[in-house]
Amino acid sequence: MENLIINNLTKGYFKKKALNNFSYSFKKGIVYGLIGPNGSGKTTLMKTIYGLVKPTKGTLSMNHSKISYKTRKNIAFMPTEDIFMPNLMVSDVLKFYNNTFEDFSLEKAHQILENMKLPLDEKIETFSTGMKMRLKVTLCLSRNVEFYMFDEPLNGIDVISKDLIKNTIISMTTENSTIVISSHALNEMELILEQVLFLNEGSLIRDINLEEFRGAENKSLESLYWEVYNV
Amino acid sequence: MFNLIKFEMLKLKKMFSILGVLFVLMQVFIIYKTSILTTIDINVMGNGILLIFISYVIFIFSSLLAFSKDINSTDRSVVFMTPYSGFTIVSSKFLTIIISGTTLVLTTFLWFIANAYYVDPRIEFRITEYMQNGAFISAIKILILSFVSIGSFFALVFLSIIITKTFLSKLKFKTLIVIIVMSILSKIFNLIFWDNLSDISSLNVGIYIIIASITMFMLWISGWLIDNKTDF
Repeated sequence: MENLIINNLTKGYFKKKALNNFSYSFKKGIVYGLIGPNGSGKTTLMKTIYGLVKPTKGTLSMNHSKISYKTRKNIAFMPTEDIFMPNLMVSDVLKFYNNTFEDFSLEKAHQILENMKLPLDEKIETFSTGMKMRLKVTLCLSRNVEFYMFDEPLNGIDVISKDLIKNTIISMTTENSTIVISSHALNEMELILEQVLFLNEGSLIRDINLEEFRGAENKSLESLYWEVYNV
Repeated sequence: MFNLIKFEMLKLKKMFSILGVLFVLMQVFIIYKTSILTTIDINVMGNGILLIFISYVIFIFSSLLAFSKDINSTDRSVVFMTPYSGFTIVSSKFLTIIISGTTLVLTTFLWFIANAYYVDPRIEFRITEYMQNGAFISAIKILILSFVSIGSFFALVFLSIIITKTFLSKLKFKTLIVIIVMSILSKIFNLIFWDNLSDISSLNVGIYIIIASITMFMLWISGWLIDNKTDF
């Protein structure tokens, strides 16, 4: 069943188009991968879905509601940037999320934090890149929504953090939720993803079901990437 | 909104800690000066007034700088990721400044009075006398006017910062353009209100309501721009 429908989405910054007539319908219970080189429009697409970036043209709707600040109640988004002030404690952030999002589970957050090996009573400024990334993933997965988005969750972090994040995302996947992950770490993501969208210059150039693809061709996601982008 | 105000207050912790340390140092200085002087010298409090003035300047600049950073820098944008409307977010930031600013003014005022008594116990504050000749009422009127005017000033700067981020984000000299726009708006504001005030007695509730309504309108436009035109 479709939950997010995007029609002819275009986002322009003067002459440059970050998204160009992008249309797609996301379905429940599927883990999507957004793949593409830098500047292909992955982050802009996610931010537009979350209502942070406003479209120049086109429409987006989540369960028939136009995307706005209100639809953030049904979407959890993990951006690449550090969104917290460094002087905040992890407990401050958890309290803020708990008071902000009705679907946020403090109990679940504590459990994931423990799995992610993150301390509760430390300031964020003392955290490494990997720890910050794990905290953002924790906050995202502690919400009970039907649409999750992770922007480069494995970017620039150590092997242990990558493994923790990957396993936590897999364990939280349910048939009622849609998960969208953008990543350059193709080998690591290959086992999680079910449907892969290849983007280039803001347009969708290929939409591939990985299971069917594996059945038809004995290729890895990385070799498919090389093929799609002709490099 | 209470949740957002609480969160915004956390950001002010550092600034208030610095101001607290400065006031403690000043207190030590006043106690020391008073203990070594053989005669009463109320001029010691001159330094106290200077510190109060400096604390107000620090407060205003750091509050506006924090707002500008929140709007323009992606790594502080957690409140813009919440399911609250732009108007709620801007209003919470505005109310945080008003609440913390009022607390700062009241605290420094009480601190000053207490120290003035400490330095010179002969000082008397004849409130009943002020009330009799009407000076007290005038002072209250000026205080309320200052309060709503400062509020409108913050709302105007908020709006200007958001306009810079929204419509002027790709322009060169955008800060200069905003300063010019702000100066023109504040000039219009002065022409309508301040220049028409012949004396304090002409101040009435209507003026306060108009200024407060303009402030609300500016906050509403800022919120609308965040919801519909600003990219984070």
